This record gives sequence, structure tokens and C-alpha cells, in this order.
Amino acid sequence: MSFVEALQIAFQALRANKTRSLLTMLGIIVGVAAVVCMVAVGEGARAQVAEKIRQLGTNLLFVTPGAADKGGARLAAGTLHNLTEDDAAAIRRELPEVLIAAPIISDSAQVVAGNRNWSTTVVGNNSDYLIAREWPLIAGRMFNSEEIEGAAKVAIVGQDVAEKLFGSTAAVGEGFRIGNVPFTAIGVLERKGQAASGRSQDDIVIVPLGTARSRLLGRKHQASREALDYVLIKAVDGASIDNMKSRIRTILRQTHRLRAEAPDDFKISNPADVLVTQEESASSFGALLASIASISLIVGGISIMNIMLVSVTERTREIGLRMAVGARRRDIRNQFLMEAITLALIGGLIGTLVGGAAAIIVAHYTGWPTLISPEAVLLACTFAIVVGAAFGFYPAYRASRLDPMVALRFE
Amino acid sequence: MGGPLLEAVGLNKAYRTGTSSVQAVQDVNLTITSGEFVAVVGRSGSGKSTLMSVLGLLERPDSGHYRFGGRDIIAISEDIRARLRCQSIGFVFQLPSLLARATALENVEMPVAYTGLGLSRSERHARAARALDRVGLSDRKDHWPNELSGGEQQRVAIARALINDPALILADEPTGALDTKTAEDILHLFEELNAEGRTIVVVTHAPDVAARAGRRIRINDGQIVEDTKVRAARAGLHEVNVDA
Repeated sequence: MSFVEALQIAFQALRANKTRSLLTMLGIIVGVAAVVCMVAVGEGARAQVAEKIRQLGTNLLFVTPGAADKGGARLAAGTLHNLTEDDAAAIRRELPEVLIAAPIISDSAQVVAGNRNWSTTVVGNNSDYLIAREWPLIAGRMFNSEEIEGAAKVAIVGQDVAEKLFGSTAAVGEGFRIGNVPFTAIGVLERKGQAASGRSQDDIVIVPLGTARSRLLGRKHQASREALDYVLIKAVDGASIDNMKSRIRTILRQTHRLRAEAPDDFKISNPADVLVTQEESASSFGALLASIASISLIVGGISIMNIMLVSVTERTREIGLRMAVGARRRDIRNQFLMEAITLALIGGLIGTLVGGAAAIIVAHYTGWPTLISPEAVLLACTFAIVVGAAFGFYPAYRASRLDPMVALRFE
Repeated sequence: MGGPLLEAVGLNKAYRTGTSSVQAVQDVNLTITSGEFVAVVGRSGSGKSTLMSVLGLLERPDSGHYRFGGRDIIAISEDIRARLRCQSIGFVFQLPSLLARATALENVEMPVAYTGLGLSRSERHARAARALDRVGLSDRKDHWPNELSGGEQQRVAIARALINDPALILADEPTGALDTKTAEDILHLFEELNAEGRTIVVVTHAPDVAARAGRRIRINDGQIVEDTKVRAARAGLHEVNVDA
């Protein structure tokens, strides 16, 4: 008997008992739906994290000042002003695997152009920040050394700021004010999109470090003219980030002359860690779904086996008749096996649709992106076929071992 | 007069029921010639159905020799016996013997799937339609079994038996569930098929059925107790295809 003929007979048999077929498929539907949903959420989370890390730039560490401790009351991180340009220089000098150690001060400020104004983040830095972030310009140029030395009033603007102030990204050469200080835009950054926090990364103005210190953000740093808000460190490719972290810690403890028992007065963080945590929460949800999936697939398989055994008993006369007119034992076995697999596969296809819908709902409520890949659908359907074949084999084998004369006389 | 279609020598078949064993077929010697119309009669439990299942290659005898179409079928595998049944024997059983969820046409074409010939869908349909036409049911092709009368159902079953053009038709109580008039029509159909040269073996306990046959074989306790030839066999036109 050909494959197509066996398939036709299988469909005929399943159509004859629609409700029963559907109920039997339920376990498989739930199992496959869980597999599809799991893979979709997992893949989506992974893709999102990879994209965020790529946007952020790779091999990055942030060093931030520690929290001030005033009479026992611990203030927020960054309230100490003990991180300096010398620290950044020391890190760069001492560690060969450090490519860039960019000293940065930043604060929010009001920017004004004509009758438009906008509140944004101003970052003071001599453009190695942009190199570390692998963030190119789409127009204009970086700061030159004269502008850096002379604390010139020039700025590189993010696309959001350019659009808010000038209505377009063609901002090069335009004048605007940061607070009350007039500046000229000399470059426009490429669009970066949202950060992991959800904030737009394009809402930014970059000015030379000296300019920021002397003309814009100096007030905040009265305690120490040298103080930085953070140092952005980029390692060379292939460097061990964890290893580098501990060596930076050693250097900073030395330059800060901390006693052995004193706690760190700075903090080193890897921005990718936050993202990895986010991915982990998605993957623990995935593990939950995986256990639901495997239990459902087993239960689904058992219910297929159960119904197929019932079906074999009900159709004993049919089996005898088919054998009498020339069906070989293997034809009977294949017929029932095909029926079980068809049952499981239809369940698998329905489950794929349900799982896809569930993934979209999960994406909607959790904000996790989901990705329904063809591989996931293929995997789910393979699961369904394997379950159908594994649990359908025994009933099919039983059917094939029936004695034709006994089967024909079966009431 | 054709050559011998079935040749059985010293056939035995026993059934084990619990501790006791029943000798259902006992030392049966039987030759059936191509073109014969044979009635196998006997009380229920006499072993006539078991004899039919052995002669119809559904069961292997415990001992004895059996040649079907000149071929020794004791030694051959189960799969080859299945193929022989498919191509050379048409079975007609007591009602109901149709698949309830298949139309008349689908029921008739069911055995074609097992021929191993790989006929296309349209060829199968055409064959089934011809067989239904032969039994006078060409207008009932798309009816479901429960829409057909008992006689019509049995005609569909006969069309199914005819579809692979077998040399032998083996019928087990074909008129068992039918009224007299309908049974008469079915028997007439068997006579026609016999007239075309097909060998017919009918197992029955009905005397009027046995009266129509050219040869009557009576079974009692698994043994042949009577073998009466009423008339000679018609010329057997159908050769057994044994190249399966």
C-alpha cells in the first residue's frame, strides 16, 4: 500500500471521529504550543540581548565613583567626587589590554535654538567615548585637538536633539545654546535607538571635556575640579573582562590609597551583565515552558496510544476484512501507525498556531520580543511526529498481529 | 472442464480452547476444478468455516499438503499468501461486511490498495465502477452502506470480491442475513459469475443455496461425509496468477 493511500485511509478514520480525534490531540496541542512559545520567547530574548550588546559596544566596563558615607548615612552612588582623569590615565597606562579609558562628566541641561528648546543629557568627553561606543557620525566631524585644548564651544549632537532643535538631522554648522552658553554643532551622530533601560540613546549632546568642565557643568563639580562622573573603558578584542575588572580594581585601590580593610570607593560594572540577567529571566520562563511541554507531550502520547488501542478494538472486523482481501501484516501496522502520526501531526500544527499566538500575547504583556522561527515550527512538528510514532507503534503492532479469522468473527 | 484449482491432501487443523483441543478439519482430501460451483454444507460447528479459511489461505493447516493454482502454499510466507488472496481469491462474508464510513465505490476499491500494482486513483475508480456495474449497482456508487438495502450491500461486497478479477470466489454464508427473494437474486448473481468461468465455493447451512450448486460437499466433525457432483464444472476461464 502506498504512502498516499495510507494517508487517505488515516484521514478517513480520523474524520469519522472528529470530537474524539480533537480531544486526543489536546495533549499534543498543548505540548507543541509550549515548545513553540518557549523557543519564540527564548530566541527573541537572545536576539534582543545580542542587539543591545551590539548597540552598546562590546568589551565595555564602566567605572563610577562610590557612594559618600556621611556620619553613617550612605548616599547614592556617584556622590563621591574621587574619580579623576589621573585614574583614567593610570588605567590606560598600566593595563595593555585597555584600548580606551575615556574620562566622562555628564549632566542634564536645557538646550535652546531659536524658539525651540529641549532638555537633554550633555556629555563632556574628548570623543574617545564615541570610539569606545563604536558610534560613528553621519555628518560633520569629531573635535580637533585645538578645540579640545582650548575648550572650544563646539558640540556633536544626537539625532533626537538635532530633530528637536533644528527639525532635521542637517544640524552641522547650526548655532544653539546649552543653558546660556552659545555652541556650534560640528557633527551629528548615527542613530542608536533605545537603550536597555528604554531611554533613547540619541537624546545626547557631546562637548569636549574641558568645555564641559569650565563652561557648563563645573558648578556640580566644585568639590573637585578633577572629578569625573564615570570612566568608560574599552578592552582590546579577546581580553577577559572579568580579569580586567579585578586588575582595574587593584590599580584604583592603589591610586586612591585605600587601606586593605577599607571598602572600595568606586564601582566597576559591566553593562552586558544587566542584559544577561534579563536574558536569564526569559530563559527561566523558557525552562518552565519546556517542562510543561515535555509533560504535555508525554500525556498527549499516552492519550494517542489509548485512543488507538480503542480504535483497534473497535475496528477488529475491519482489520480482519482488510487482511482477508490481501492486506499484509505490515500494511495493517502502517495504516494504524500512519493514523497515530497524522493525529499527532495535526495536533502539532494546531499547537504551532496556538503557540505562536501565545508567544505574541507573552510579547505583548512582558515586552519581551518573540521570534517565531521556521526551525521552531520544524522542531515542534518533529516532536509531534516522534511522539505519534512512539506511542502509536504498540497499538499498530497489536492490530497487525490479529488473527484474520478471529478478527472477522469479532462482534 | 478446467484443471484443478485447489488440491488438498490430508489437511488437518485443530483449535485449542482452554485445555481441550478441537479438531476442526480432519484428514480432508479435496480437489476443486476450475469453473466448479461448490457448496460446502454442514451444521454450525462442523468445521466448514475453518475449512474455508484454510482453503482461502487465511490460515495455515497443521498438517497436510495444499496446492492452490498448482502452487504449494504450505511453504510460502505469510506475505505471499496475502498477495495471493488479494489477486486470486474474492471473499464474500455474511453481512455486515462493508466499511461503514466509506462509500460503495470506496468499499469496492479497497482491495486494490493491497495489490502492490500502484494503480492511480482514476484507474482504481474506473475498476471499482466496472465492478459495481457488473453487479448492477452503477447508480449507487456514492451511497453509504447504511443507505443501501441488505441485498445491495451484499452486491457491493461481491463487487469488492470481483475487483481484482480473482479465479476463485469464496463466500461464507452470503445469504445469511437476507430475505428469500434477495437471497435468490444473490444466488443468481453467483450463477452468472460461475457461467463466466469463475470458480465459486459457497459455505452455507441453507439447503436451497446448496441445491443451486453443481457439487455438494457435506462436512461433519471436520470430515467430508458426502461429496456429490450434480453437474460438471463449466469451462474455467480464469487462470490463477501465482507470480506474486
